[in-house]
Amino acid sequence: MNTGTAGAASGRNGGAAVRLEAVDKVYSTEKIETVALSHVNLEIASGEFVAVMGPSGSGKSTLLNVLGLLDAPTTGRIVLDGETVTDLGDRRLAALRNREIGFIFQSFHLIADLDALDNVQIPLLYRPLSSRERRERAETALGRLGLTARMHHYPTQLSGGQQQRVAIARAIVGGPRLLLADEPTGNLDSKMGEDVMRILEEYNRDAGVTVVMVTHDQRLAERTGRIVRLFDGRQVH
Amino acid sequence: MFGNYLKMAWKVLGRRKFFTFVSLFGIAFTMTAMLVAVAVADHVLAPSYPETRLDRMLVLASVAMSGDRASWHAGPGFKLADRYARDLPGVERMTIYTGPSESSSFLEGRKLTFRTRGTDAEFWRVMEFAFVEGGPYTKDDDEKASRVAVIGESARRRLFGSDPALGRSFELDGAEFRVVGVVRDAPLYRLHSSSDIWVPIRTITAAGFFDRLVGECEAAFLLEPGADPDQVQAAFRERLARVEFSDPALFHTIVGLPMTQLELLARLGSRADDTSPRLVLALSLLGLLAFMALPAINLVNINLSRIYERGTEIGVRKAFGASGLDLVLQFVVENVVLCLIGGVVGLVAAVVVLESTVLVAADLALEFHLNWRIFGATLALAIVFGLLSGAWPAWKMSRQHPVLALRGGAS
Repeated sequence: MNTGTAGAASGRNGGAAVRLEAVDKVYSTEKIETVALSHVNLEIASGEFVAVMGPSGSGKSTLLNVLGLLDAPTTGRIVLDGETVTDLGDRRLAALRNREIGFIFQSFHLIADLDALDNVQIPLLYRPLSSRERRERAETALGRLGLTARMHHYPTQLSGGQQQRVAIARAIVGGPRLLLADEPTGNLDSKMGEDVMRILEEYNRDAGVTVVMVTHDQRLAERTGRIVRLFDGRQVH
Repeated sequence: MFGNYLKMAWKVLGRRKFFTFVSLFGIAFTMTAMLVAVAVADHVLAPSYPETRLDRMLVLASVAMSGDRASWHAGPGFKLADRYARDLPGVERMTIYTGPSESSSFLEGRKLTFRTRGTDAEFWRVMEFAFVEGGPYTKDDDEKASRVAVIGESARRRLFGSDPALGRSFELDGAEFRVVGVVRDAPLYRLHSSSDIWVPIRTITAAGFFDRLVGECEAAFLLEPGADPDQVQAAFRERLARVEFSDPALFHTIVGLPMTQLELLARLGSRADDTSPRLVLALSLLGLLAFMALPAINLVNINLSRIYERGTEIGVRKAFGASGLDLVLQFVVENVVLCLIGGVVGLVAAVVVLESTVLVAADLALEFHLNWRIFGATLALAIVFGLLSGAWPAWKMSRQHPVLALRGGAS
């Protein structure tokens, strides 16, 4: 394990998967301003597995949203695979998220109206693929996560662990290079949490995918390659 | 992609049964009301028995005569139509007839009332009645004011029971008429032809009837194929400028236009001056849109409430690469599918309403039946309704910030 902050690129494959340069994120209303991130400099190397820790409200999820191009920094720069993406438009950002990034959420965020197979196909809908190809890829992803028998189950018919595995299948089905997991074990018991962690570790190790995971669990964080700690929106050592 | 939107729409509608039911009920009810209106309008406006060539007919139904101190607004008088409306360029045939008025007949001590029209012989060549007995009266019959009549099947039943009527006589307003023809009944909404009994116009004995510029007649013009109605109207307007008035101190101006059926209906209740009927028509169409907008706004509200319910889905889709346009298309397709299903339900309900009306009001010889125009209107209305009520919520949904949406909230 390695605890580090800015510029601590220690990925096996070398080269920055994503880099934040002097990123600030401020939420403003008419009366107050909330600083969610303050002058964050962070470089995550390709193939790295990074844990992000910090107390509630420290800016962990905001950091993940900025890394995932879901939220734009107020100031600063995001560089993804060597390309500055800070000022790209909605459609270009959507295309980048679709191709490069996979998301895993604490509360799974599966679409209740769709069965597991259709949920997993979501990222593929926004690519020029035939329905047969989409279906085959989704079946393969579900198969890898041991969910072949649950393919046509709706989220409410699945346990928490199964739902999170469907969500992981959805995150990896498009072959992203960056996987962002926001407390992926937070809603699971320890056994299911361990299952999910193992899957992420395997995926990072075997597919060489960069993983950034927000967690409150020190034990899980220590299994990653590096821990980034935040407090009041600032990186701390 | 489009196929997937359809599949998604079907799944969402199937799984959200309560929302689907509430929405479908509203859409189907609206569609039923609009389709009944469309069906009635179609049957009044479109060519059908016996006005089978209504699409190339103009009708002069009202005129307004004015002077410095008085004005008179009514149908054209016989003299105006006879002297100034004949042989207009582009007109193949022209007929003069009265509106249906009530006449009485006494049969074995019982008083029977009938709607009666006076018509010239050309009437039978402009309208296309189906004769079940005999034929129409002739120009000669009209010029000699022969007391002959064409009657409808309902009138024959009332006058003669189930027996043939040809050659038989009956009494009408104190005079005896001989039946020369029996026609299939014309529906009540065939405004220029429907009646129980038709008699030669020159049998009318009302004082001054044939000398009036303004009176109780109508004139129908069957245009030559391809003729421009605007040119016919312009030619008639020129004729009106040359009208000779018997007392110019009282009346010196007369206006009125032969109009298409659509223009005539659009002007219902308004004066027959010669300002453009198209303005009234445009206003009527706007009214129809407003009628459609009310339920559409209701559906917009229901759809907007789904923003809150499906916020997370929008966030997830955005996170995995959906652009704003993708989301707009998805939700619009969902809404159009819903409206098309509502349209089918509405169509079935409208057919039930129309066929029931035909059965209940059998005496009026209504012919409100489904046809391809109504079917086309259903499709068009459903799609317009779907777009109208789906576009704004879809756009609003697509603008949601993905982070807010993932929290399940709507911005």
